[in-house]
Amino acid sequence: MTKPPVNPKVVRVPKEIEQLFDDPPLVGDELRDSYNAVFSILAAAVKPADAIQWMYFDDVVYSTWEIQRVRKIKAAYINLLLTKVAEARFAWTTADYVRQMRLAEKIIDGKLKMEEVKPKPEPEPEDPATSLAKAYLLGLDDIEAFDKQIALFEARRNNALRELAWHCETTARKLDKASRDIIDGEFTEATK
Amino acid sequence: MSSDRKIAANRNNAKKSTGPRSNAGREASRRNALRHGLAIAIGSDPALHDDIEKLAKLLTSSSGIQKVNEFARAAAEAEYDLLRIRKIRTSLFETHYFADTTAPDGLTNLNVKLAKLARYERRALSRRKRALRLM
Repeated sequence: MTKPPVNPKVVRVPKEIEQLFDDPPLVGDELRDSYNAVFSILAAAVKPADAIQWMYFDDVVYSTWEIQRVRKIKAAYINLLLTKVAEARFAWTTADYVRQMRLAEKIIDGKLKMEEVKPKPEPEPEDPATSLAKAYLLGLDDIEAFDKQIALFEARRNNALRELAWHCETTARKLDKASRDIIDGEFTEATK
Repeated sequence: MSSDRKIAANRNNAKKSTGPRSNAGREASRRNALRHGLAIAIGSDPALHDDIEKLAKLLTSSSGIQKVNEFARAAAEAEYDLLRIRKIRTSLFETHYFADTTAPDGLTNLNVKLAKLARYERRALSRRKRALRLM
């Protein structure tokens, strides 16, 4: 049995809909406690009142979590690409191998001594902006796909917030009408 | 509007296509609709029937309606559909990224699959939104 997603001291999820929040979308090393913390902070700020509000609230939490995850993966991916860019700078090219072969031939022929061979010069230091640009070029399609995912979930979060506002407004309007009907009803009865 | 000549030509051309002929082709095409099951309506799953009804009742009471209507059911179905899609999304992350975080090829696959999944998620979201507004 999984523990309830929200700290009961902060905001209580109605028992009837607890099932919807039972299985948060966690992957890899993501912690349930971290998810619960995001859930609790947002729940305390919003205080959803009914099932519809809880549903939209869950969309907001889910989108927030996804944005966070994709951002982390994007950052890790760029770091991986930077490593590849650095490795490529130090990697041996075909020209290096040809040069090495020629040197070996000269040593065998006795035209060159081992001690006279100079090691391959270190590559010139590269400024971080150039390395980053190379990394972006290397994984442009995937980085763009991550950005699209982030934009998608930002749009979904905003959409959920808009629907939440619409629902609250409609509920308030209905409540207002119902209470006015009761007041009007009582007034009509009283005048009779 | 297509002309009669065009309709007749389309019908004639359609008769020429008889689908896959080899056993391997037939074997491959018979599973075309069974890739992930996301196109199947979740309401047809008997295991979820009670949960959907329960949620539909809750949604109904949330919007101050007395009786559960078709829109409440549609909204509940869409919500369960979203939960199903989210589970698939997490499993994609597990398989294509967290299984080996040093393999960029996995990420390309992941992005392709996530883009496909986003289409189903978008549909479920708009189904739920429409149903909740019509309730």
